[in-house]
Amino acid sequence: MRISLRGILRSPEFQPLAVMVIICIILIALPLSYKSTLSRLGLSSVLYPFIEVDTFLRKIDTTFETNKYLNRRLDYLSTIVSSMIENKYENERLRKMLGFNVNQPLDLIPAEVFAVTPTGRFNSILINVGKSSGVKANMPVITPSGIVGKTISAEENYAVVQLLYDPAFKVAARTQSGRVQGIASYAGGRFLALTNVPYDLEVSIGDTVISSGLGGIFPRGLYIGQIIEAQIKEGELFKDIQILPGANFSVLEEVFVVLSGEESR
Amino acid sequence: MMFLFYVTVSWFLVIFGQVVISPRLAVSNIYPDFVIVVVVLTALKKGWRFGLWFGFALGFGLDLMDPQNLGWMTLLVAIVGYFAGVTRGKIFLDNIFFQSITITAFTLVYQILIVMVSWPGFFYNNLWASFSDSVLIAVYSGLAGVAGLFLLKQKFRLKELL
Repeated sequence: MRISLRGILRSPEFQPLAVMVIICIILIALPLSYKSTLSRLGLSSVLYPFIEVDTFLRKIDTTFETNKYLNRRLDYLSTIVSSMIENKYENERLRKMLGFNVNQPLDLIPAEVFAVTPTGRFNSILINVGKSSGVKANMPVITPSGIVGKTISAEENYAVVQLLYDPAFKVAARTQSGRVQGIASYAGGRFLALTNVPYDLEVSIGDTVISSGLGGIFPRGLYIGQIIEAQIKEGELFKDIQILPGANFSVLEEVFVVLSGEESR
Repeated sequence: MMFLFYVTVSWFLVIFGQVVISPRLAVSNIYPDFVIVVVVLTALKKGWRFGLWFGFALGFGLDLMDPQNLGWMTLLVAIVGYFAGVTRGKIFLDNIFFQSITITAFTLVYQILIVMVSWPGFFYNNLWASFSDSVLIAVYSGLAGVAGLFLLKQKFRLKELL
């Protein structure tokens, strides 16, 4: 059977496929501003009902559990807050005596998650604050359980947040007790990897991983997760370290955008 | 006219399933891809032309939520619909096991391709993680898709569904 190029091009199966591919290539090649406009139109029209339902269910999903959890935390935290306040004043006093800058509290904006990008993985979310609230690209997004991600684009009334689970996401990190520095990035499944940690540095399982503040986006000291595995592979210069992130991405409802980053710390 | 009405209603239902229901079925950061399940099943039932354009419409709907990668999901979902439609009549689909395998295979290819085109750096540096996540999503989608289809058949006696 002889298959000619002309035959394929004229075949009724090929032409619609070619048209569709051309439309998609045009969509892919559009400048980001056009894509954002299209996205904004879609989110405020056809996708709006889904987003509203999703936001409503998200609130119901977590309200009961969150309430129980918060009550327990409140009891626990109120007992330690008083001693923390004392430590804070002592810390500020000592820092002044040593000539160090005094840390400023983070400037946070609360935001609601109104959509998760539907790729089968938790790569990015949309939040209901944008340029009108002072949100710009590359601002840290956190929850009380730790870093969630960073904004990658901001429109007037919403912003896209790239999550820790996005393969392109990276954050400069360090272990809390060992002060070992590395880069935390997605490692597949539920885990992150702490990369660029030389094999001869001591890293213990269970140690807390926090942002080091060296990347320029995340202020230092934000909780990322806990080390659950640290191995040295034969012939490798760096350790193979796995982190379990603190934030639970399947129940994200409210987050905080950190308006002031490293410069205010 | 009625056909267009049914397609529009289906579009809304599938997008609802993927945006609202699917993330709530997440197990260990993985959730089923209902869009591919529906595109594959409808393409196998209606043929490549329907699979192509229905996939295009669904992919575009989802793409609107991710302006950074706009166009890629549209392209890949439509291509999945096209190839699922091309295999129509060539795959034995009376058995629920074969349906599940078919959905799993198409979802696997789609998931690998979406990671490859959206995050090429991650894909080539973390081949194993990319592949294992894709396999889990594919298996989950295959099982969830067939379970959903089975329930629909039982509940509404929709014998026409494949």
